[in-house]
Amino acid sequence: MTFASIIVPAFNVEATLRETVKALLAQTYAPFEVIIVDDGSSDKTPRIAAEFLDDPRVRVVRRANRGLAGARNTGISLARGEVIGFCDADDLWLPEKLARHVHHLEVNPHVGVSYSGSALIDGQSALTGHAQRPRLKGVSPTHIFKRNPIGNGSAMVIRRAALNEIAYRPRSETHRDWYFDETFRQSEDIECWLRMSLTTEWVFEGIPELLTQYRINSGGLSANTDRQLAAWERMIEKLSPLNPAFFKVNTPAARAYQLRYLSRRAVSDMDGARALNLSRASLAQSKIPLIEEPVKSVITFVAAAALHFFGPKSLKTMMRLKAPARVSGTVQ
Amino acid sequence: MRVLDYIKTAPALSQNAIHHIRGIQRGKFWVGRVKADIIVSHLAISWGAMPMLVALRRLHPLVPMIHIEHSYTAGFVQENVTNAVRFATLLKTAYRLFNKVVAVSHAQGAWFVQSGAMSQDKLAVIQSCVDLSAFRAVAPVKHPVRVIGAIGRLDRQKGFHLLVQAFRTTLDPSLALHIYGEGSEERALRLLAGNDARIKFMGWADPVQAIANVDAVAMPSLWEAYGLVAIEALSAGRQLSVSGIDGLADHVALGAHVVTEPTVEAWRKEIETLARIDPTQLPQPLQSCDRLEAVFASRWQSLITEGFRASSGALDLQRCG
Repeated sequence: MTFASIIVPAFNVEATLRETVKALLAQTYAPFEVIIVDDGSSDKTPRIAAEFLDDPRVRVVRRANRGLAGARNTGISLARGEVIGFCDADDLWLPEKLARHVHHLEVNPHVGVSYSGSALIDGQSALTGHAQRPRLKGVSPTHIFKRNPIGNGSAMVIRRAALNEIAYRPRSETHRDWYFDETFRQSEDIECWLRMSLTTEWVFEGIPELLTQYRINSGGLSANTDRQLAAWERMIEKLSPLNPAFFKVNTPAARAYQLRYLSRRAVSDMDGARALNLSRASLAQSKIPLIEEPVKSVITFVAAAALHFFGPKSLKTMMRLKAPARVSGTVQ
Repeated sequence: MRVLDYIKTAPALSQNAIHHIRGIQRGKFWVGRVKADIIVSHLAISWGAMPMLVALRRLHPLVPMIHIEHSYTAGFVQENVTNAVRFATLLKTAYRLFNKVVAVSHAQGAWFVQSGAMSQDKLAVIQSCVDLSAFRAVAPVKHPVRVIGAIGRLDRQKGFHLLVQAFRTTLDPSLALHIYGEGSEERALRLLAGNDARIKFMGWADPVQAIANVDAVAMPSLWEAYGLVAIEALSAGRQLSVSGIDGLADHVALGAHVVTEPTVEAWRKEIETLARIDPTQLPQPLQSCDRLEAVFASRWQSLITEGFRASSGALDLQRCG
């Protein structure tokens, strides 16, 4: 049987860590281990993590804060599994998730990254009625660049052999390899997926169930859209030499999607001016999102404009009108 | 052929299979029946080799046959093929005889699919490899680049004529270009080098020695399925400039610099850039060379175990003569 490791990067997550780890330990699949990487938390995270040490499947490591990418890299360096799953310490895995992904990887030897869609939950772990339903098959580097089907940091289970192919060791690093680039504090996921898809033959493929519950915290989302965009642009600068033609062709559309995504986050935060600016910037970059995903694009742009010109009330009215249509996916 | 020697001796590959290497004379029509669980061809495909390949397939209808394409690339076709349709037909017909075709670089693999030579499911990509440990042990360069190496057969394919011409247009007297290798182009290259005393022809040398004696390596090839010299140079921590054609593009992730224009002017600029580089101040490559052998072994293992049932013996065919 394939042994699996699940890595839980944990930074100041006292409110949610217990629920996350319990959900992992309730997986129907065995054998597996859970590695909690405490990324230098200053709250009760270490104490809560230690509660699980009686379970032989759980290992806890504590490191000075290095960010999400660093915590994941630490986890990978300790993982003993042939397949490695990731679950952020505020998200939840459904009990069958690991079993489904391990099976998917076992029967599809070309697939390196197996992922699923996610149902969105709120601060109280209640379903919000929204979901991420990404493209599942025929995923090319272009799809990853434009729409990142993996969606969030708790959706994927990856073959160790695939991670090994993208490992590198920066000069400054003396202890272990890097898989995720620790110089990124945002866009570290998409940077890693895009690098893997451009430099290896491993296939990215999803399975058609919402096996992850992804927590959306309201507030403070749009505050760092500038930094987020800067990180995203740095990723392009970093990866462009790999395939200049690919980036030349796809960057405008991918940037338009990214700006649309940030605009939606600004709408969620009721920041009308920022949302409208981002929407305008998105349209100026490329009309491709409008052609490929007209409904979602129009809703984003109209919501941004309504919020800016008529205030939050108008948006709430719109949301009520929209609700029966059940357009899925509020977040990219 | 170095890759074949490596396949035969690499621990991860030799523990699960016994490799017999059989050389095949050029123009030979008949190989005869071979006893193997898998037949791996390293032959150069040509119309002349077709009868032999067809016979091989007919004689072993149930034996999985894998072909490794060491020769043909987009750049090869561009530079050498006059009748593109006829050549495409050759590749398509020949590849149809095999269960799997291995591209030795991602760039070559992408070209196979784009050009219609084969479908995606017939393709496997396994970047070529040799034992790189001796290259990793080479002492690092801790000063700006002075000696640029051109290493390989002195053949038009390698594009060294561009490099020699470009080097002659640089003025820095402290720079040197050392050319390692022998081949039919040597006379022409010596003529191009003229009386520039900075350009030296070193003859054949052990690759580890050659790389240890230069500060940077330049590969201005016109076509190149993968380019082993590139991973050897990068493993030794040498600066590497490549033409970016075909499989040379695969080395960008490992830290190679690309010269996009195949012109004397572009290579002159590259040489001048190399001479200004402080090797200790460069950005990190996206991937490292540390695991190339392990990836090579694991890709072969999965190709053999996933596609075909467990095997105990493999026959590697190599053209000789």
